[in-house]
Amino acid sequence: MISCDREQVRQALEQLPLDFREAIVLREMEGLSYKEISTTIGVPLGTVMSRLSRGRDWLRRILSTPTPVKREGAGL
Amino acid sequence: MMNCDDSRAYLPAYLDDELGVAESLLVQKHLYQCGDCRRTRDQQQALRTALRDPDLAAHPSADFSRRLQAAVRQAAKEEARAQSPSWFETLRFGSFRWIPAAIALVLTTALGSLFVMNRVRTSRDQLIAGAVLAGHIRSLQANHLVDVPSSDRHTVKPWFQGKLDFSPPVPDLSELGWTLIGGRLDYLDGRPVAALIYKRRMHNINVFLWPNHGSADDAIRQENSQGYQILHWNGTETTYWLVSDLNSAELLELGRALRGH
Repeated sequence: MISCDREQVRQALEQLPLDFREAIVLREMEGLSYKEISTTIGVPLGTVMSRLSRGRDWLRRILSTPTPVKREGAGL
Repeated sequence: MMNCDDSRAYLPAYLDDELGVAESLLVQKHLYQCGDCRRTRDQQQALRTALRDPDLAAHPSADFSRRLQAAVRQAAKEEARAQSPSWFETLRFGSFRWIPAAIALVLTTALGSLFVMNRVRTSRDQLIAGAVLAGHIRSLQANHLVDVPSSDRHTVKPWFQGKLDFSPPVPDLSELGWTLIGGRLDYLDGRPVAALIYKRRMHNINVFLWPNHGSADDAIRQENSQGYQILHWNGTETTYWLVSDLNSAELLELGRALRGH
């Protein structure tokens, strides 16, 4: 089970490649549908699904690995 | 009946509320029965919850919003100045010099509307093309290519009865080298649609079809996306979308064979 604080999630997001981070932010933080994301960033629906899936896998892997948390100077 | 591989392939779209009703029910049923998949769901849900923390999103400062609004107002002013002399000044109501301008305005509006309508249609087609491709990939990934596996059109066609509000044409094209391997229900363009699956050599071809309530256009449009070929036309009664990793010439051959039936 993933258990992490806000700073860990923020740092994990920063490590994501831009394409994946863009899809994750539009879906999870902005609440856009797959179709809206596809229109917003101009890629096919299949690409949106694949970026979300790979982005989430990536985040789960980072967050499952215990790493020291840097508390200062972090920002999205 | 859904297995664990299917369930995990569908799970992200299920949690995102992006799955059709039929598939959602199958996932729910599987989750009810399978502890491993419930754990996977809980992990995915935990990540979502962590990402939806409102304090995680970056919020611009009040000063940023103020500066942005000022910049937008300034840009609008500069644009207005660039359009001088204003079109009011060009009107000469004492003479008829405004008539050509009026004609030009009407023509521009009419052409503009046509352009916008065309753009809307094109962008809608692009959305459907994306969904068609996603449907094709999902059908292969999730090991859920067919709901009714059969090469007999007299088995496949009646199977759709009661599941769709139309009866899809299911031609037998075996003599032309296209083997029917079955049918499937899918969901595209906001409605349930029929998916027929044909095969040539090792290539699966998804043929998505549903009633065409718009204007007919028999011209076949073709595009390549992510290495897949997508074909589309709006028949008099039926809209067709074909997608496969088959080469474009052979897929066009199938499109023409289907259009001829």
